[in-house]
Amino acid sequence: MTLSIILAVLALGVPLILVRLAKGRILPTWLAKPRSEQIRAVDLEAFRNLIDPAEEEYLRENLPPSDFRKMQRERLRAAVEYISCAKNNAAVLLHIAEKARRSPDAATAETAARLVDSAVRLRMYAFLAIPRLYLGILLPGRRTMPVRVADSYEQMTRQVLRLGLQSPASRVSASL
Amino acid sequence: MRFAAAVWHAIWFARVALLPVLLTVIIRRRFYRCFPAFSTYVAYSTFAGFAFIFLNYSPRISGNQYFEAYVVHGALATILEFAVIYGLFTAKLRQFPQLRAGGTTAFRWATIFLLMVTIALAWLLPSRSPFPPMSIYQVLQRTVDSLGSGLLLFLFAFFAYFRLPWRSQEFGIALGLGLLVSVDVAGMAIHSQIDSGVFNLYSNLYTIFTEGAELLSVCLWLFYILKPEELDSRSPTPLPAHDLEIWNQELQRFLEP
Repeated sequence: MTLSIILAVLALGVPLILVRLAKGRILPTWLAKPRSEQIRAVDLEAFRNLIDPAEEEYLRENLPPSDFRKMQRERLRAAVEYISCAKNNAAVLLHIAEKARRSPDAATAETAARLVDSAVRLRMYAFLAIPRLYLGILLPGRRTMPVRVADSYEQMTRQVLRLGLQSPASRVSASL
Repeated sequence: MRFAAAVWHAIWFARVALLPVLLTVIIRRRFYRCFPAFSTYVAYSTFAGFAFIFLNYSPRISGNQYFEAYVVHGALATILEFAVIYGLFTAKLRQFPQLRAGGTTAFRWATIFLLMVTIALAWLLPSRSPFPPMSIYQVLQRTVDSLGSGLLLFLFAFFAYFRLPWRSQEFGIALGLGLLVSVDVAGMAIHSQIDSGVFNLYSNLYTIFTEGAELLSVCLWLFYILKPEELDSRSPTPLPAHDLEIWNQELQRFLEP
């Protein structure tokens, strides 16, 4: 009976969780909230350095194993932070691009669609890269190179700039 | 107990009376073009609603025959519910084609995982109904409803991760269905443990609970379908001058090799 009660309580929580998961993202309310000020600067070069295999090899060869593991954990934690930040930026950019995608101007709409594409792909890569980095934190000797995330972020940033040129509607690139 | 029976009958009739209204709105607004699975589900529920009222009051229909019809209805309704969930998922993937491959794979894995969990639950929580066919039905229904609930959770969590928006009608359909299946899971989880095989206060309260959820779902669907899809007419916020300068600097940085 206890398990039945637990199942019943969990099941009754499902509609509340659904509402919580969709909160603030139901059209048109979602489009009415520009959030470009939430974008945080991401240092792409620093991130590339953190996940550079040559840098990793250099540290491995020149540091005692225990120091290397400690250093590598710190580097990977920092890389997770960078990816998380880029991932959050992608969410904000996606939000802005969704609005621009509805623009009557074909060029703006097309650029916005490409930005949506990049932002979604970045979040997908981040979803795959972050667990790999955490695995690297657990096993610091393991190589982790989520370079595709960096490439995708760079591509997305370029598209934001192009979007900004066509439609001066956001302050996105200010932070990029 | 008589009052409880009267209450769930009233809720049942209200739901059956509202379903044709919902179906009419779907047809008149050509909603079936965007959501064919959901429209089929509503059409079927409308037909089934009236059919069961007829079966309930027909003197030629025995209790066993009614139960058999109820089992067949449960199977058909469940198939359509899964079609609605899958239809919602594929409709959203069509809006974001870059997610199609990954999303479909994730959906399959989520289904396999949830299937294992719900089968384990069926094994851990057998029904205590004294009537063996009812016992099997209760466990099966609870299992498929748990799977439906889980898939809806997956659907919402998947699109929440990517921060993708929901059209209000898509959200309304999913929420109504979520309410329906999760209340069924909760009701069946308790009912399967205390069902004595006869109508008593508990079984009446259980029916009020599930019928109430079904009525609420129909109301939710009506609300979201009738609600006009507003377009955001606000113009973008004009950029301050200093932002334009930063834009220029950023452009320069990107254009120079």
